[in-house]
Amino acid sequence: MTDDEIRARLRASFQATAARTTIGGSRLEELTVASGRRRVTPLVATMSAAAAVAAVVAVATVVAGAGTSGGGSVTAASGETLEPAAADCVPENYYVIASADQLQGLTYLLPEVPPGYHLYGAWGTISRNGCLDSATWYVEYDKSEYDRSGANNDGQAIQLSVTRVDARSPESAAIRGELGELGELGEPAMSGASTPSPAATASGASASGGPPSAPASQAPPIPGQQDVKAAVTWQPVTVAGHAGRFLGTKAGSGTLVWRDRGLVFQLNAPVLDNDSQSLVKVADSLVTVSPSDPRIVAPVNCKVPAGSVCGD
Amino acid sequence: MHSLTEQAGVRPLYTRAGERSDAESFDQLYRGCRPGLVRLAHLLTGSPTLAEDVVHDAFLGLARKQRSVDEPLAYLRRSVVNLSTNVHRRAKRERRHLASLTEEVTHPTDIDETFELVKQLPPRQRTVLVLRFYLDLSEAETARVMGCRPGTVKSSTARALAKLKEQMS
Repeated sequence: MTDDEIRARLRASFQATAARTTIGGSRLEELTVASGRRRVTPLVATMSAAAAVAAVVAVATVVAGAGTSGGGSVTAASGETLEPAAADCVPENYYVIASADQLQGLTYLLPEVPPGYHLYGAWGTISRNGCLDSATWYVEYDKSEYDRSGANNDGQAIQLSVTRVDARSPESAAIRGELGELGELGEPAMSGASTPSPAATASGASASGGPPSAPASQAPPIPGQQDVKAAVTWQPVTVAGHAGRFLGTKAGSGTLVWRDRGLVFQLNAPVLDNDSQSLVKVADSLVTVSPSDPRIVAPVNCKVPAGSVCGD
Repeated sequence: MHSLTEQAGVRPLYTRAGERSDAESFDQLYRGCRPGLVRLAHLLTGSPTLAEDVVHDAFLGLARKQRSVDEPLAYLRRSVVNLSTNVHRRAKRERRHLASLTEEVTHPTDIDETFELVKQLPPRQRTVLVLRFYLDLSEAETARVMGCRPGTVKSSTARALAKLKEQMS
């Protein structure tokens, strides 16, 4: 195939893809305005679709910093207006490498690298939304036979994220809503536990968690992917004494989500036959290390000083 | 060339802030340019959902800086490109999780093999291809939008095409 043929295919593909792009309804009203007026915007409006997806997927995809909109004031679900933490903060969102101080209490690892795997990376990031920070710690172990770029590991990698959000941040509010669902599974409910998360509300999803006795509960729908709800189910599980949920997929990977002392944990790993307990065992084995532990290494494409943006 | 406004059937509304009332200009700019920007963002991010979000954020940025932006269209396009790249960085792992959840609802008729290959390219290479072969920007224009040198555009394009050729063969 010649370069010209490839270019022709690219043009045709781009045209076809662009043509079938669904253009959603106007969100002009959400924008803070044209003439520099500053308006307090409801949280549901300032949360990005990415954040909504991440939050709605629930319990599963609790990811701090997914929001890409921010700045100015936001209003929490309660109606409380949240002002930026500091007048001189940068009101844009960013995604930077966290310092050791910011990672205190988050640095979880598996006790050893599992056989057949290598440590792809263990690092923390800070995301900022509306001048409120949240920290997420990531650990990923990849199959040894794959390259070390982190590619080609979907479904095969063991991935852990631990999130701590600023108590005042909208992400915190969203996560509180989600954790409320976990609370229904047996733990004392957190504040706001009985109400859907703002993100779920924003997406039109309901945040029903299901009773403790239910063998499985339906996962919340993903915006734009409504059919998915028929394909996945959540199972309540207990991780180190804490209520959590397990989601298995036909592709042979599983997701476990639980909370512990204000942190939200998410563990993804290959599982056989939706065996949630195999993943629970992995979760139970997690250990914490010092933020200066030499095992903490950034991925090869993310070796930048704390405070710097992780490039590609 | 597929300008961001011609697909929406409108001409660029203003080239300098202040030609019209800010509010009127902004609203018209939003209505006229948003569809084209969403399509561009869809190509850059691979996700129509993220695309809506990226464009919303680009307009949000413009709203904040409107009075100091001389060329709103250029500003919006650069913002969409930059925000799409950030989405890639930030959403890599989220997408992995989402992919595992959504894999069973991918409709075969929606799959464009070429675009699927493009989506596997690193963000910078994908961006170069979209700007060059969707918007038909020159290497110099692409470099301006991406904030890099024309030589980088040239080399990124060559690498991307080589990778696609290898995968298509």
